Amino acid sequence: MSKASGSGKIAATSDYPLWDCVIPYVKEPQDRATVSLVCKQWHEIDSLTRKHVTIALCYAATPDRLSRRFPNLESLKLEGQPRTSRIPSDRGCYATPWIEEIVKSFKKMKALHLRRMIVKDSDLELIAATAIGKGLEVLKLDKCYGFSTNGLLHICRSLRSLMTLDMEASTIIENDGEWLQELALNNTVLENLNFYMTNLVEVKSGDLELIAKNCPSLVVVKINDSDIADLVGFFRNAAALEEFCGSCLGKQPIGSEGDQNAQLERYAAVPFPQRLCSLGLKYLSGAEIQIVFPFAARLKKLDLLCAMLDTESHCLLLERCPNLEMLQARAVIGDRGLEVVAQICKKLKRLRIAHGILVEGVTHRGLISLSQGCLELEYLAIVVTDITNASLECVGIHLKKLYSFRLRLIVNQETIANFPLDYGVRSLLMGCHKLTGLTLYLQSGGLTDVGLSYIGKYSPKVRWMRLGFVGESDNGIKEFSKNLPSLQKLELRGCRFSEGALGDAILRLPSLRCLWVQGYTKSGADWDKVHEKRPKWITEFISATQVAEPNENGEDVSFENKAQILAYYSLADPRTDFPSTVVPLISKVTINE
Amino acid sequence: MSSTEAKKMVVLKSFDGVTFEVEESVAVQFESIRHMFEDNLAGSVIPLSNIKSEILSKVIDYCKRHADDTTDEEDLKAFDADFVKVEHGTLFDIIRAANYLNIKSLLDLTCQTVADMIKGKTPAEIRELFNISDEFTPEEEEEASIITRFIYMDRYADC
Repeated sequence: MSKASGSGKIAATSDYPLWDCVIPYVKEPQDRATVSLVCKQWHEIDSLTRKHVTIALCYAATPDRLSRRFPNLESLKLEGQPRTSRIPSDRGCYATPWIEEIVKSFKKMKALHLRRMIVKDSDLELIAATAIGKGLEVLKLDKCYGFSTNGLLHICRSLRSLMTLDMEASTIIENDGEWLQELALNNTVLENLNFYMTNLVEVKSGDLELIAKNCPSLVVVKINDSDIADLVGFFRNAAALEEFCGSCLGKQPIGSEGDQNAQLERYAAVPFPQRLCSLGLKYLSGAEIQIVFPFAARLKKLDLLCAMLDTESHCLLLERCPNLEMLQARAVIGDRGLEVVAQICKKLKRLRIAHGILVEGVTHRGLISLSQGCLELEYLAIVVTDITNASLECVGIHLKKLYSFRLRLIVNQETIANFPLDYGVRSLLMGCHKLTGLTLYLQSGGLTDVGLSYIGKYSPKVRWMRLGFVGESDNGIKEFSKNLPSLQKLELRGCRFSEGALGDAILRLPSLRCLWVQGYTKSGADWDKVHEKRPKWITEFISATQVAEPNENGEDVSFENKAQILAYYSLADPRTDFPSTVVPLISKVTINE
Repeated sequence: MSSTEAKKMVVLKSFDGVTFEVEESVAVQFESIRHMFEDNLAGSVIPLSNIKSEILSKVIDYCKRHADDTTDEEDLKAFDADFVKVEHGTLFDIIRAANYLNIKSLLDLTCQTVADMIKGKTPAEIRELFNISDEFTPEEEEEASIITRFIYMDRYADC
């Protein structure tokens, strides 16, 4: 890169070595983007020295363009479908062309992260068979599908430098558990093994134990349903382990009280490693929480999403966790549980309260406790069954460090007394200056057009938004889109905006690069106007379909998936791998990079 | 870094003819010319024909301070902070010299200082700050901007 090293002379007038030296020290993504726009020389230096790129929608660029622009990438994150369940599963987003380019062109690639893409066994086999695979340190297949344990077998056999193998929430065809054995036999540098929330059950505890023995740097292990009492040998050998998730308790049915005591004794004998500070146990019940008590005080991260705790048990456990920085739980935690969190967990930075089957529920009362008690909160995602303007205002007053706020309202009663939430939303936005992400899934009547205009006015830094059931008319989206300089990604569900108003909004949002809309009013708008003014913009109309999705009891229920629009910037040629439900509208103007 | 032997000296000569006598324990930090005095050329003058005396003197100062293991870390930090408080032109010359001599810690210090100046600024502000002319045509700029802003992102937190 630098011509100046060694014995060569530096030309006094050339700034090339200077900026060549400096630019690699610019690390912040936003600053790197700026650097590439300063002048042609900087643009070139940035291209040659950029180490990491994220492509938030894999159809926004092509693999060969990427390799021409950034030939020295060491890390790449590619994202496929914006939302898994809502977009037809045959929509495309295949990893194959990317993997082919990566093994061919990116000789320095060390980390590959694919999210919501279709990955085939042949893709994994190709990685395993090439030099890239030999050097790969991180492979994340996050919410991907299409591959099986056969593909994994190749990865585990050949990728001996692999430090992270993460397949969380991917749908994997399970043939056998041989891949894990191969990993145990071939890898000595593994730090992070994650197949949490997958369907992989053919897991031998002996293989996990061998991995722990062979890989002294093993820090994170997130697995699926293995009875924790069978993992004594694993835990005994995993001295460096800091994070453990996924193993289950109480899988065997319990008859008498005697059985229960015997089971508790088995669990109490599990030797949790000394450094363990992050935990998530499946089916953890109130009777078993005492096994966590001895080390609860050192826990920094706790995942209770798959636990079977009632509100009272949440309280008993959380009372003993003063050092928590991250907590995930279901709504069954209740306002009472959140009160405990607010009193005890003063270091909490991230909190996610997800929808639960037993909606005892979290409301504005819990939100107020949290706002007043957990002043370090940076990320707050919460599902509530009731909400008030005052509680939103309270968030704005107290949570000054918040950068992501996600609120989903699920109501049982017909009307909420405190609708609309215009005033509360405005107070929250005016108070939380650092906000870069906002989700508001409300109910009809929750936010008027005026409220929507407040979001537009008071969200100068917000880069992505998900809004559901907000606004009343096209005027709402018009006012909303007048003042959002930073908004890059917008998702709208269940709103009443017309096609034309959405097209106009695209033209008004200067930073927008991806729009996903589910449910809109057809108005026969002229999308050519959008495409004329926004070259490289691709719009896909996805017609309404019947979709089967598991309900709370795990039974598939058919419902109508409303018509959708997916629109995004793209350097790629029009794609061809979409199903008949997708109608692409492509800009007629093309520009070469 | 202190040598157990008697202090060996190395003589460096700047672009404008000024000579500097430097202890070898200091000069070993000049990675790219290290071989010249290590190949038993002690006593002879090593010409650095592209570094001005003003800059070479600063670089030697820096290396002396960093070779002295009696300096405590806080003092060294304060020294470093002070060291980079110079005009842009001087700072750039030090970067060029550090790059030429391959002095990693000095390169880290000075390049990070300039990188920090870039932080949070717009392309136009950066051009003005460093007096860089923009060779993009408006069309090219718009094009580059679209691609950069919309297609290739370094990271997209929490989406």
